Amino acid sequence: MNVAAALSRALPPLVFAALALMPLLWCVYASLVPDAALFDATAAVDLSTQSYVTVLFERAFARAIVSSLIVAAMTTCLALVLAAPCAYSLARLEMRGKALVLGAVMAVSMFPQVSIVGPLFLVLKSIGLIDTRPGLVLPYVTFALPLAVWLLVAFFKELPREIEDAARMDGASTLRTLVSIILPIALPGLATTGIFTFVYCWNELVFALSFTVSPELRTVPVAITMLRGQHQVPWNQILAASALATLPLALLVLVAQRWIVKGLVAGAVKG
Amino acid sequence: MAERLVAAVLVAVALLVAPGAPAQEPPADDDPRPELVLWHAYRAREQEALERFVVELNQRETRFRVTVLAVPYDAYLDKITAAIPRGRGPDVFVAAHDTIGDWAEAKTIDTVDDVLDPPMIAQLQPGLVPAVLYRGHAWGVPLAFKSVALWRNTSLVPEAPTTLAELEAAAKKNTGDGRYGLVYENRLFYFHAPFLFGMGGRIFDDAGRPTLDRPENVASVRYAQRLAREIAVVPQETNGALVTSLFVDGKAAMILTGPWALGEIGEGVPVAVSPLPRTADGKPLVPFLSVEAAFISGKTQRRELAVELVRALAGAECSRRRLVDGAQPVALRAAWATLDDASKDAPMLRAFLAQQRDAIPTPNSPAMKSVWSPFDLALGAALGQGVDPQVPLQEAQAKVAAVVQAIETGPQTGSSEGFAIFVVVTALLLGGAVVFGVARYGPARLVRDAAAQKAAYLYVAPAMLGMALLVFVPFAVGIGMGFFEHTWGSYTFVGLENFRRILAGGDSRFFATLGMTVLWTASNVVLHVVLGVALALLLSQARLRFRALYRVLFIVPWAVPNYITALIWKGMFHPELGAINQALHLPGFSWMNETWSAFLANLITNTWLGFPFMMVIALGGLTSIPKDLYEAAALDGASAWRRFTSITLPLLMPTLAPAIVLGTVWTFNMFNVIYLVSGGAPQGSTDILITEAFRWAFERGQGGAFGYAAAYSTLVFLMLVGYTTAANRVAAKVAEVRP
Repeated sequence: MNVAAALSRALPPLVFAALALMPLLWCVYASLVPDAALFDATAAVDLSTQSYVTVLFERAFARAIVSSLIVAAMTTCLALVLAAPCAYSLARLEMRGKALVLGAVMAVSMFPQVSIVGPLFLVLKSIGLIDTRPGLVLPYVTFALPLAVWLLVAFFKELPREIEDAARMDGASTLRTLVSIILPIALPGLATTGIFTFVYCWNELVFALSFTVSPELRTVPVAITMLRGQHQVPWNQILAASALATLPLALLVLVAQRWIVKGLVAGAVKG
Repeated sequence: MAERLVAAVLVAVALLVAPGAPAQEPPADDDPRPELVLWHAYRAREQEALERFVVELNQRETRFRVTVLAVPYDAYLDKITAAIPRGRGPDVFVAAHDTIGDWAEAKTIDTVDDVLDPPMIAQLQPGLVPAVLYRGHAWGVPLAFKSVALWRNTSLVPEAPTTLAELEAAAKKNTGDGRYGLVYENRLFYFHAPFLFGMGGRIFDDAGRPTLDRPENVASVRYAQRLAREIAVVPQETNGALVTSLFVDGKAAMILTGPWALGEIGEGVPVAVSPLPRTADGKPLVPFLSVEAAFISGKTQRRELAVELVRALAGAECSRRRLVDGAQPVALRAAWATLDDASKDAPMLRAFLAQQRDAIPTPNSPAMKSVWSPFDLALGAALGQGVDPQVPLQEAQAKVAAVVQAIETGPQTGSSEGFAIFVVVTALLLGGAVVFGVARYGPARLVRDAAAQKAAYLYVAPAMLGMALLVFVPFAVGIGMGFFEHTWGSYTFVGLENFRRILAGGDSRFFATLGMTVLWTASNVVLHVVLGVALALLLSQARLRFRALYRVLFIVPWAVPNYITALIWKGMFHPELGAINQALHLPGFSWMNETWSAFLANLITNTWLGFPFMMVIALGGLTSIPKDLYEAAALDGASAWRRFTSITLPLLMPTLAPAIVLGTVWTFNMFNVIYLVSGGAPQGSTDILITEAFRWAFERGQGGAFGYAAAYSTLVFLMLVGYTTAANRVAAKVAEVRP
């Protein structure tokens, strides 16, 4: 065992990881100290979890987490259900107008949100979806689709064609090929896509702020903005809320990690 | 198998529809009383006091019941402006008086001349009613008032300074060793106003025209320069949280802030509040006065009941609660008699009451809205870069004068024929495109293809249908808005005028902003890709331990909500107290004073936000590269660099290319980082197109230059469409060349 070599391999990621985590550690640290000590590195401080208690119990933050979980989970499922066939079609099937479809999907992320919120509000209102959960999920699904489709197209293109061809020769329909052959192998791709979609919903603020009024529907970012008033900005509560909001995502990535690794092993077999 | 897919879709749809129906809770136990909805944006003690009053009111009131809703302050004014005209807003809401002009013009609120009658006016603190008058009518009933006053740490400054000379002396004595004599947000016009008015300055003349560059105003900014730069008793780049935290920490001897800080100050530090000191001529410093009033929605169906609710809110019981429990300086004079002078808040609240006599209500005209941001910019230039105030104030004057001029001349006259022509031309173009498509491919062939590729189209259809409704309709509306001019809720067709103005560079800095946007996008994407690929390579080393853990650690930055990230980094870039300057030993270096450094601050923040995405994509791409290629290359004696350039990079590109295109689009439209970290500072030079469009929509114009902002957005959209089309062509060509 060559210690120097092992160290040289481990060191760079370690340094990068420390750099990448610095602002987050600051965020957690700051959430544990009183606001007064926040801007002053020299002050002696007592760490206190008071801000977490305040956020969780007094500010209906737990309800927002549940609401966010529901919205993000629904969006992720729907986006995958819509994006997978669309991406498969674009990656593998014969179709006229592929460029048009891809272009349309991409165009979604190109129009500045500032100018889309108003008209989208009108559309949602006219179909009676303002201040409802679907009124949040449906726009999220459409705005998550570009990324989902693009990621899945890339994953599907990487899959070996031979398996599909074999399935087709056995007389399987395209739908059957997609569901029972392609999707299982593409599981890591689906997992990654799902995580991206989930994170997007979890962190989205502008739509959630604009399209919901009822407290039951408030998502985590909206709940965080609720902490501040016109003049008061309780930093340690805001940062405690942010740390709490990040936690489920970190856990999700940690859990999905296994899937991805498993998928990678499966992928290596073909190589 | 197919059934399982169908089942999955059904479950998803069921999930989607089921919880949607009862979004609003049904009225509790069939309460027969009609409901009134009350909105406010208070928090902490003020919120508790108000909401507790409403609970009690609901118990005894027989004519109506009140549903109270705390709305996030960030969205408050926009929500009121957007929700009420569409009939979904509150019946009554509480807000500061300064938006009255806009709301009155757009009929968002109703007059309350019948409520605010002489008997009621007689019960209120004098000097508040003018704040709620606009065009000769009363539009809201004053509930409370707020202005800044002078707070001091009595162990450092035992006696309240009564003149500016005494203020300076006390401030000098307490400055040094990381402490400051006087702390206030000196780059905000709101906090500078006491000096301006105290020194005889004005923002509008008697005819209502802006006079931002008058000599007294310039002199007042020179005085602020003296405090911040010459005798340096005021720290740089403060914000509200910093002001209170320095004070609570004993690092600020005196601060200028309002009664809203009562909740955060008062423990641990000996504090007293007094009215602002006087100038050398014996004139008082005059802060802006904000009057919080109850407003009746212009769209309420229950105006008579709403009037009763407003009376209750302004009445003795509610006022007492708001004053005593909520520590809010209330408008009702009688309530002040109930204030227990032994209570901790009482002396401070009475100081704000005394300050109110020397405060002037913020003008509530729409023209005032156009003053804030240019004046803040002028203060930034004078205090940050130390330029002579005359110059930036003249610039601010020019900007505000142009807006006020536009308000006076009214909207550009549009013509309905112009609109008709526009509709016909658009319809012809669309029709032409369809005819062209059919003529080119032939209907028979289209139908035949469609039949043959049925499955493919079926798979694409659901995604396309959803997008057609939720994306393309709003797009069309958004693009269409670019041909209109917006003035307080009404749109006038102006054809291509908005586009002409933008591209001719008449009143905007479109091309400079475009240059900044391109630079911003290019440097970000390059950094994201380089860092992302480098980290992906590090993490895919064969014998790395804790690989999974590292992946999680690197992905986490991207999982933090990006507006939070932006705020955290903004704090870290603070000149004196930020972690970055402390680490680099650059005390006092202000990142936001120069374009390059403000740009760098934005860039660092966004790089931190953006690299995880590229890393994840690159990790995925790396695993699909067959290992035997490397083994073969190693056998041939290829160097590591050679293996990277001729195996890794080319085989990674197909995966990376779409990510780069997508990343470019995102960065081009990255609003949060620019808006929250540099905020365009200095002088809007680091603004990108999307933040500029936002400023047009929400900070300029008459009730928002929505048409102009939409034209901006349309141009951004066209540029991005052009870019992606070109990028995809190139990618396709490259893919063809390669075997």
